[in-house]
Amino acid sequence: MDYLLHVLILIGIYIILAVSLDLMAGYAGMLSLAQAAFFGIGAYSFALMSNRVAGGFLVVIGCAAAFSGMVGACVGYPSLRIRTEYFAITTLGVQVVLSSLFNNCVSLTGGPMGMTNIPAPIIGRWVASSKLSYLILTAVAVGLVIAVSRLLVCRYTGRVLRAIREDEVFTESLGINVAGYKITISAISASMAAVAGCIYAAYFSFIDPSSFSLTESVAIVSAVILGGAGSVFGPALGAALLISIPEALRFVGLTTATVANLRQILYGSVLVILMLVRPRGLVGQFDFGRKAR
Amino acid sequence: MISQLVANALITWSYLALLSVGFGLIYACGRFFHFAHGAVFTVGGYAAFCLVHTLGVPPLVAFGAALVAAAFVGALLEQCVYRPLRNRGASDLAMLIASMGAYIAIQHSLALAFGEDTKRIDLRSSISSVSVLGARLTGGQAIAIVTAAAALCAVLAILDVTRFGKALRAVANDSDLARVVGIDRARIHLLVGVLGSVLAGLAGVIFALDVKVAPSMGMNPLLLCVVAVIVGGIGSPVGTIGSSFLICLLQQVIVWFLSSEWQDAIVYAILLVLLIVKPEGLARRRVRRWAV
Amino acid sequence: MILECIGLSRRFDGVQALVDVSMAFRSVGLVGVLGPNGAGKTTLLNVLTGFLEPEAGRVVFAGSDIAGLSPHKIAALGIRRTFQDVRLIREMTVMENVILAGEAVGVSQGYWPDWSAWFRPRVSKGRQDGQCMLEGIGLGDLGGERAGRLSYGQQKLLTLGCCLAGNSRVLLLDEPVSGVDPVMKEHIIDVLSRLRDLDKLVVFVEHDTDTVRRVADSVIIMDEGRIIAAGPPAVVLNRPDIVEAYLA
Repeated sequence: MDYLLHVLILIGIYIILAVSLDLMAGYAGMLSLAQAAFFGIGAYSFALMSNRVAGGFLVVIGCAAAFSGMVGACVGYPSLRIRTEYFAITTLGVQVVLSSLFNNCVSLTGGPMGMTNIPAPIIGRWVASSKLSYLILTAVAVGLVIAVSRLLVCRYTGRVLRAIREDEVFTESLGINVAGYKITISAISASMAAVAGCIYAAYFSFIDPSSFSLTESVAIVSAVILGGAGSVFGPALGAALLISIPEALRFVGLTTATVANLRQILYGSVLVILMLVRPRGLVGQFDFGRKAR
Repeated sequence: MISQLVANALITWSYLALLSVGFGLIYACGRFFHFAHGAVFTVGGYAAFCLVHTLGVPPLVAFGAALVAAAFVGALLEQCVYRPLRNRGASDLAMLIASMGAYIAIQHSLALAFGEDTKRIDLRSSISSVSVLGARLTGGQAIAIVTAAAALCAVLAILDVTRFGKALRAVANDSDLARVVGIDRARIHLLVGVLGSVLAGLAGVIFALDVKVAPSMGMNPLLLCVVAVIVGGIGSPVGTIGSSFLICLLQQVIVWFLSSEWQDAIVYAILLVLLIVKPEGLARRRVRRWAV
Repeated sequence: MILECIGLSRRFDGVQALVDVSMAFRSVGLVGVLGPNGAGKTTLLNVLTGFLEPEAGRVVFAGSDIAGLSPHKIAALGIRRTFQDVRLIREMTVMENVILAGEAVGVSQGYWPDWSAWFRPRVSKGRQDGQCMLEGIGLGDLGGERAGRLSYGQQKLLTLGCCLAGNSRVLLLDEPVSGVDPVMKEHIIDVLSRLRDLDKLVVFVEHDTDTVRRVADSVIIMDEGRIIAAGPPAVVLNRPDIVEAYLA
């Protein structure tokens, strides 16, 4: 039972990550390979601020999200000048630089050994202590993130993002501030990933750079693509599948190392097979486009 | 001192330049980031290791076979992944995603098959160390540098002189025009894939001899080679060779003055700055804000 | 004079695409811009609408300088345009394209999504207006079709419709009938001539002198980045030197 709760919490965290990436990659068409880096910024910010900033859990999450959002806006800025696939490479560069920072700024982040003793969330008089309470916390966060995401994409802003995805020049000529939307959605996406990072840090009480690496970013991309980019529930579906399937493999008697490798093989194969066969994923709407004119 | 720096730079250059030129050629032709190039590199290293240590094959034969293995994987990727995607009219982004997926899948398949631990090809050869202009190199390293240089010259010659080379340059320059002129683009893509993969395989063998064999061995070199290709100029193998050397030299300087942990981060940071300030590499004309 | 450009110069792709171009446009009417390929016609349009910055010179719209502003700001001020390559959101329907084109009008364009846009009964009204406009230009039945499915001519007409949806005072059209089948061409020419009644300034770049002759109030001839003639079509297009050099 405890194990089931654990898996559900993980799924919740990854749903937030996948939904946040989909806002940028699925709706605005800006594929980012740095989502795990923002996940990490959130986690490390939470770990660093929890013992030093007064105000409790929500204040800390707010600060972490805001900080991550600012970094996200900076990362989104180059997309104004470069083509999509170069932007993906740029985010790749951001991811590896941030990973290096997580690993090397030992005084700040504890380096490869990570940070421990991250305190449990306290909201008012409620302290998260059991797995169930963390699950409730995660579920609330997932609900909020999906609600905000729906609010953005099911209305005018969603239409604007989809138009930007297909033809920025035309969209700009309609009087729409393309630059503003791209930077804003990058910031929002990074903030959401940071929220997931805070929950992750609080739940595990220990973080280290390996959870925020390029491999994790690719895993998040796989989740979005499997479930389907450009849809409200596609990324959530993809995240749920890509977390639960490898977990199920544990019961088949394979070693942890084998399961870890199989997990990555799964993520990689998902990317290849889906791009070949069904780029819009299970329930998605965006297929990453045709060859540019 | 300086000569040692240069020598160390040349040692890493010996595999980075090969990897970068291969990557650059594939990009110039196909206009997509062939991430899985890093996996081909890794396959080369593992194949050589496996043949030499597990099967006891004589080293030179093993290295040749490793090149074949790398070429095979590269060809497989081209035929089974990139060609169908290209025929479907998939965007460059879709190809990048598929390539990344292939890289991850191959890397972890190798980890599954051979284990996570780091190995090295140990030839126990009696080639002694060499000293050139005050710098010390092992015999193996010196041979690697010379081999790399020779291979690169061969590639440049192929590009300049052969019909294949000319066709490749045509496709890289203007793919549609090349088709109109009668060049079989699918064949060129396949041959470029094979050529690039052979270079990657050779780089992998050199790396396996000098540094290590591990599932993740390809990631760092791959990222560095992206930097090299962008700095050196897309479509310019000579530029790539030069920029690879500059990067290696820069890394050695950083290791000397700072510490080895920062050598990668600083190079990537430079890449970021470049991509932001001069998008599309160091293209000759300023990229306009709006692509009208 | 609602739109003026004064001394515009701009290099583009290695050539001097605009050389000291000065022109004043009246607030209402149709102006045709002719000239051989590479004359700088599209570059002029790009500079007027903010997609390119001039290296020298000014652009004045309704009294204020607009050179150097972002294209979206210029579009919001009241200058809309089409492009030489048909640019549309092909995955959206015709109606969605039109709604989007009209929605941005009056929506604040700061760095945050316009939250207030959610509370306006915008879309339903927009749909009515959009349908009206589509019927006016002859695409009334195609509202639900994906824009990518339309024929080339219909797509060109739709881009014109998107400009109209923006309710702008000035329309700059890049080759509105070029490459279009004869039936649709007639139809678009008809739509263009009716635009005069809407109190708009329409500047259109074209290759086909016939269209310009029939529809334009005045015509500009460009060559090698300069304006070499301007005036009523009947006068300019019959000048022997123009006929010989550019129209023969």
